[in-house]
Amino acid sequence: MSLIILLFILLLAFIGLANFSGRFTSPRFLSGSSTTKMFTVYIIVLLCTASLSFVVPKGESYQGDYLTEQEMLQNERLNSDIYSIVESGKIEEANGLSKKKSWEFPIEGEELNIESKSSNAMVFIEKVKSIEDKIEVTHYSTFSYVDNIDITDRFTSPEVELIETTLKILPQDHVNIQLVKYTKAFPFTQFAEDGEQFNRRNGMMQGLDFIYIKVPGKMEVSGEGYVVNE
Amino acid sequence: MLKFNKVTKIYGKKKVLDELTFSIGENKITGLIGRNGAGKTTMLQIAAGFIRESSGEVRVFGESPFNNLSVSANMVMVDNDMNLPASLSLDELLDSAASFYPNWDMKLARNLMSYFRLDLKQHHTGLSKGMKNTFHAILGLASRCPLTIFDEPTNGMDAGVRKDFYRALLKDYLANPRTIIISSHHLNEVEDLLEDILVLKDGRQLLHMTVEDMREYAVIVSGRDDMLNDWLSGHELFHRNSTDFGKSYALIRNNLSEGQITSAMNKGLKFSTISNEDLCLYLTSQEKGGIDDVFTKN
Amino acid sequence: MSLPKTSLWDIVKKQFRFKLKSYRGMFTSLMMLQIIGILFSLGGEGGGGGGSDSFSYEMKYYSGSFILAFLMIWAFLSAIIVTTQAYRFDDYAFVANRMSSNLANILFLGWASIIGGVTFLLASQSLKLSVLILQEQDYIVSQRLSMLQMAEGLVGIILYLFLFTALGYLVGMLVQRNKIFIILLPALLFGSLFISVFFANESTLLIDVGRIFVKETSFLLFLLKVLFASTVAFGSAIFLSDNLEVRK
Repeated sequence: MSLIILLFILLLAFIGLANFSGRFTSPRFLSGSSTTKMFTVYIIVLLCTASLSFVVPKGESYQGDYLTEQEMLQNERLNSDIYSIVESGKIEEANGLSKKKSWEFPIEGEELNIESKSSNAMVFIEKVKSIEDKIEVTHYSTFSYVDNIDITDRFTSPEVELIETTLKILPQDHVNIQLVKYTKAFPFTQFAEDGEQFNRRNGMMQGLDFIYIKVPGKMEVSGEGYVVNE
Repeated sequence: MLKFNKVTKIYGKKKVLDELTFSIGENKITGLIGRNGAGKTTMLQIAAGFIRESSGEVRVFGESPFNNLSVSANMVMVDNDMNLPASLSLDELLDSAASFYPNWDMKLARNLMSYFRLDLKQHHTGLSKGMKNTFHAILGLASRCPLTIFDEPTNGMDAGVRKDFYRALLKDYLANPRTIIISSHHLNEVEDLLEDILVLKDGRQLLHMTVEDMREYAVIVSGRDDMLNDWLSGHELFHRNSTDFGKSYALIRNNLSEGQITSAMNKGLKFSTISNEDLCLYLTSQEKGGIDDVFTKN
Repeated sequence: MSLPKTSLWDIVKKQFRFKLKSYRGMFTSLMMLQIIGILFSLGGEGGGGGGSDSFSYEMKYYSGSFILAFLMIWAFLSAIIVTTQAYRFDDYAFVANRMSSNLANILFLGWASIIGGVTFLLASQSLKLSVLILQEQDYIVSQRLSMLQMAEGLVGIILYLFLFTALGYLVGMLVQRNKIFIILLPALLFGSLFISVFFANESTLLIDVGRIFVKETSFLLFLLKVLFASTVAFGSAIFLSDNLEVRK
């Protein structure tokens, strides 16, 4: 907020007080029953807007079910463990991963080149004997949150396409989260039993993205990507 | 009703009231007369309980008035700079007064308001000085308090309004007798109303008597200087004045015997009466204080 | 002649009703300050942002804290104004003594705190509505207040405001008693701040005193603390007013 507006507001504040403190301004200004009327109107307007605020459709608003401290810690732990779990090829056993999208591409030949343009998705390849003439691509991600709000769903999956023997992973759409938060003013939290007043942590975490590719057992894989069982 | 016993009030080094002693009876109208600075307002403020006496004893309704709620509830003091909230209209002020004073007469108040053409919607601060005082006077009248004090109530009022106000005061007093004290510069304006007159000078009581008695209190003697000087010794002299042609006059206490009057007549002295207003003027005049001054000057 | 005793409480009630009318300018300034507070708050009270190549976020916080800060200043200054000569003398236009005048003032300031607290609750809800309407954002988070929180918070705010009026009343009376306090009190305030900065001291007397109230999580204890502190402040103010002339 610019300084001028600030000064203007302070000026208004002083006029407001001076008006009460008497006798600087003309007493006929804002006095008598007109004052009472004005204040009554103000109260009515406040009552209306306040009750409206309970009714107004929230749209995409989020009704403050926060991840708790423990959930957040758990997520962090999962995130730190998850890489090694995936690396060891046990992705099905990993907790805290959600499957976001999967693709299937028929493929001929025994060569696959992987070209990843995604900056944050990690590519893992598993050679599976039971698969023939196709590759299965799955996008997993871990939880993301901003200010304790789960925003995992906001991240889209990258586009994946197979051109001849090259699997292209295109970058994900840029995600921009704009968060408006209406918090409780201080005295409303002062007497909270859980000590909300003192230790609130506003965690922010961007989840990990994994592109997990299952290819036929005898496929030769080149390019970006880590083959988990070789 | 109202008693002052050796009441002194000191502001800084100045003694505004100096061992003032008097008492005012119930249901009388008393006029308080004195020059500016004689201590009238201070005396009234002490009586009203607004300020505290420095020493002495004050009793209003038998109680010390300072900071006394019971006294405040039975007393109203009307003065020029009454503090009334700027935020209230005259109408609301009347309503407020009505809530405070049990004897409040709203009908009287509203009738007076319309008679003196005061707009109920107006605000106190928007009134001219005369109208303000008219409004204060209405407050004082309509509150019908057992002790009603008017301190220079007619300041700034025009002549017509003054007359009407005093008439209203008298009528209301006759219908609802109560103790009223009016201070004024202009005795002749209020004289017809008054029963008693209390004259203050330099914070002391100079006179306190009925209006009737006061008319008899002093007399003017005039004649040739030498004759007058001879005759005056032994009389209580209030004021003395010489004119250019060897003639002079004197204001003396009217306690003359037949013999004294005859001897005066023989010396060619003339007697004349003096109005109470003039009497007060002479009595309270500053430049020639007491009897001593006159003699030392001579 | 003896007088029928006038009941103090009776007069206090009458004066309180009188003040409701004559001090209504106080509520005009309350209204103005709240509107200003809402406008102020619409700019957001804080925020943050960050991100990576594929992700960015911006946060903006809103709460009624500005409005509340304004209200506390309002409570403090209003109480000072009530102690000024012009306002004290207004009391004596009609029936009053010092005790009745002080008690009616305390009653009025209590009432003003209640009005302040309730309108704050409404105003902060109005601010929330404005935020909901004006902001086109992805996520709007509003923390719901539980009934208990709302009730405790409301009473808490009212108590804070009352505490500030008590402080203001005491400060006002000190100044009425002796004008030197106009210089002395700010000097003490800033002096203690300077000292704490100079000695790089984290806690100052002021903050320590504030902590007594702010860090109290037990509602009951908070209530007792505020009531105790306001009683002390108002009591001292009444004691101080005892040496002032009733009216000139």
